[in-house]
Amino acid sequence: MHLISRFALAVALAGSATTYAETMPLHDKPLLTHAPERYWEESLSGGPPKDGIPSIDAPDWWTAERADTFLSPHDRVIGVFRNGEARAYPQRILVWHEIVNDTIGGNGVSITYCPLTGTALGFLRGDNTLGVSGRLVNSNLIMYDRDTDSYWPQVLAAAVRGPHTGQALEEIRVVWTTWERWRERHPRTRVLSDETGFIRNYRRDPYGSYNPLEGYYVPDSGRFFPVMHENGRYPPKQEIFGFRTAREAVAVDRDHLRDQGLLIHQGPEQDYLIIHDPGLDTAWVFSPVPEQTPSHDELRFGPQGPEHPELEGLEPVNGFEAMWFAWYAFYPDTVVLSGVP
Amino acid sequence: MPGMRSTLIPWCSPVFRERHQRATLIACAAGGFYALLYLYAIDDLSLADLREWRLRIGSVEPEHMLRMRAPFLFEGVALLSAGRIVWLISPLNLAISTLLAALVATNVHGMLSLHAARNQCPVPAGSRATALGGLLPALLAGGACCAPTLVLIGIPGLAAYAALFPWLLPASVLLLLLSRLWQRRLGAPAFGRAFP
Repeated sequence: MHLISRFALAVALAGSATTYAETMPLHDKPLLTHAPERYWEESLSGGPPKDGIPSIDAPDWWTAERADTFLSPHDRVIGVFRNGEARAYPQRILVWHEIVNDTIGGNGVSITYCPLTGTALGFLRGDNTLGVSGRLVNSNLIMYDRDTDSYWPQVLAAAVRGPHTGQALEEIRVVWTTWERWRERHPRTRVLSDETGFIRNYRRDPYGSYNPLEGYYVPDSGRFFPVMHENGRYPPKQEIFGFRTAREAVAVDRDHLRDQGLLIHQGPEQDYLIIHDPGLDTAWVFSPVPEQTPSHDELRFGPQGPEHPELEGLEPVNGFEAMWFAWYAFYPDTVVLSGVP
Repeated sequence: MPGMRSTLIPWCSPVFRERHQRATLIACAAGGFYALLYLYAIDDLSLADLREWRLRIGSVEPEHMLRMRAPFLFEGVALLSAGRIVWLISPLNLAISTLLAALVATNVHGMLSLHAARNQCPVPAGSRATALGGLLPALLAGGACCAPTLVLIGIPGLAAYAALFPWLLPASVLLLLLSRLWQRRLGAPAFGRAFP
């Protein structure tokens, strides 16, 4: 009888693990250069304990007009447009919290930002919430989910420890841009307010400044923590736009993209169309490349990015800006689109 | 130091009473300055680019106040912007800074007292070094977000040892306590008192 009850308990636990996966959308095809466990072995404490950097779990909002008294035009924000709603998350607030567990259009989402790697990514979280573990790998924030205590390096978006090891979070597109650019594209945007439930000096960034560019964020400045792979092709903190598929990682030189407007990358399985968005100064990636590729001048840019009949039905591929050293540390086999062979 | 007290200059004389009062004042000033420096190092005190006059009050629940944002760094309950000075008010950080200030003040007082009597009994270099060594770790223990202060300064390779940084504050307290005990063994008077 004792053995039978143990078996029943094991079955029940296995069942609950499945429930976790249902509540938090996951997939099984993350791009990993190493075995997941290796990333955990290479991780180290950043100093604060688990949740010492508190996520914002009950966000409060300002109108764009109210946000104007807090943000300067060139301050950085992380923007999300989803289900017809536009939201901006000021970098000056996220630098102190790194994760906002939000709900947009009825979907639970986590908007995450790692100041040390300059990366902003959004994830579907279901009913689960993400928190800051206090550990770093390749200087990048390692998140943990509060249901299963799995650990997720933000750039990998894949669990490297815990029940979800080897699985990946479903990403949503977030835009790393300036307040002026986001406000122009989304005049009715709401903005995360400083009523975060915590007291911080949100007018001060402990690492430096993006407006003007100072301290840790200067491209030539050094990084703090050790990395798994190094490469001197670009200054360590230079921002590239990166996207990855199940087979490869691609880094796009942002100056090159600004010059060209459109780029086509021939991947091992599919081709990718990369479009520069001059309004937000970011990139959008689609696959496959349409037969009649429109010129950049023919494109219009709306709330959801580039618009053109030829782009309809194409699969958008998520991408994000990142400091070069961090991108390379995670993806040493990365393709670089720079226009230079 | 056997026989030291009998060979000391009479401390009860007006000259030495004045010197003793000055030592107490200097010690208090040093303690206060160190407390401010500590609060600045842990980022509770900072200077803003823009002048602002505002008091923001957050949660004052004990559970919130006891929450650690880094080892020995506690959550704030209010943010006071007074012109260009911004003070994140955390009761427990304030208590720690007061403890450090008291230790620094007693150490400085002890050092000055022993220094005044140096002709009779030179202060051993080890005692001074212990006291001075105790001043530094707490100032480096401060941290912001992902990285301790020392790491933010940008010393290469140091971040790999970030896990050891929580020990800096206890190290400071321990060194300052040891140095104070050493001073007392050398005959330094209690804080606020002259040599008997």
